Amino acid sequence: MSLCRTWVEEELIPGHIYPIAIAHFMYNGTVVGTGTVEMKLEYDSFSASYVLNLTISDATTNTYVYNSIMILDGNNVNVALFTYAKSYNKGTGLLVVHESIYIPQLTPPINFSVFGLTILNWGEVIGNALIYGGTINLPNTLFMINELATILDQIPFTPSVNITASAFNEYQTITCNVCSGQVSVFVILAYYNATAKQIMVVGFQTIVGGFSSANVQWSIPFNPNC
Amino acid sequence: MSYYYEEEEVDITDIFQLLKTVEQTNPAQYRQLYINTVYQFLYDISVYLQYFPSGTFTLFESDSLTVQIVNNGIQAIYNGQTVLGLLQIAQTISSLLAYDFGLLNSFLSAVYYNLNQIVKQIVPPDNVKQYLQDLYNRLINIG
Repeated sequence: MSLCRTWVEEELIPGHIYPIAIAHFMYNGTVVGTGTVEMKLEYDSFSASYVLNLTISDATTNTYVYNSIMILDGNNVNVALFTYAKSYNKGTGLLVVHESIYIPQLTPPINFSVFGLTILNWGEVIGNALIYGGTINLPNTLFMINELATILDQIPFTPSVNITASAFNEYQTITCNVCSGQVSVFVILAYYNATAKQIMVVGFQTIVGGFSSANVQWSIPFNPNC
Repeated sequence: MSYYYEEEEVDITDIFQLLKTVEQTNPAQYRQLYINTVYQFLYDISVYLQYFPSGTFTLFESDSLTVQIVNNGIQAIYNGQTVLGLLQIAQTISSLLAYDFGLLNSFLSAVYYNLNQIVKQIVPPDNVKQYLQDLYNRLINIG
């Protein structure tokens, strides 16, 4: 599943996240019940993702039929929509639904911690922000690394933006003269704070044969239906 | 039919004078040349980084800039900021040395001295020591 477009545009991009607050049980788009949400963040090595496990509960005696659940944050912004192929009846008792939000976590080709940097994990940062609220930093730097793991070049990532029906795209044409003539170059996209000595890798790609000019793009997919 | 040409005489005995001329006629190209020189030096070191043991080895240290090899990677700390890219480290060094080739000469001397000290600290692994010992014994026996 993907996070909602409104959440990506209104909170992730500006960088301020509000904690998840409530759940709306819905039937064909109409809210029929309200639930509480408990959250726990875990790392799933099988899918290489941070998983935000949600326990959605409605302890009221209300009865209704639902076929989707919308998760909202404390800023009343839609965060995630879970839709079901069939409808479920809530009886008069406690309703508990378990759902998960997966946030992929990359393992970069170089371990930046050897430079004394603190490694931030994109999935972990977002997951924790959805639980507790907080600040998110988007990538601001590109690192060019050769096959000997030498960082040849680092340049600011100041992208242009393009929004499609299901993704927020940032792209930039970069030049790296010292990358030409290399056997291959890893281009790593990261949030980097040289003063606080923090780094958070959000993407990388390999360019075989080196390059002097290249196009870099990264995307945040979103669910357009919520 | 005969051809005649006059050889142009280029006096490169004073390389600094030549660089001065480039600096005055094309300052941007001169700075690029300077940065490239520093970059190439750092790149040449980087090729051998894999042979260094883990740990921190200082190549150059001043009030505002420290260049060091940290766990097989080159990094610089400039005014408290960590600089990782070789090109950016080269630019930082170039700026600090005010694009002066005379100062670069002093900088390189300092780095060479430190590299020399670092090499003395590196203890070869036992198998390499044994190999060298065997080689030594073989050579003196041949003699």
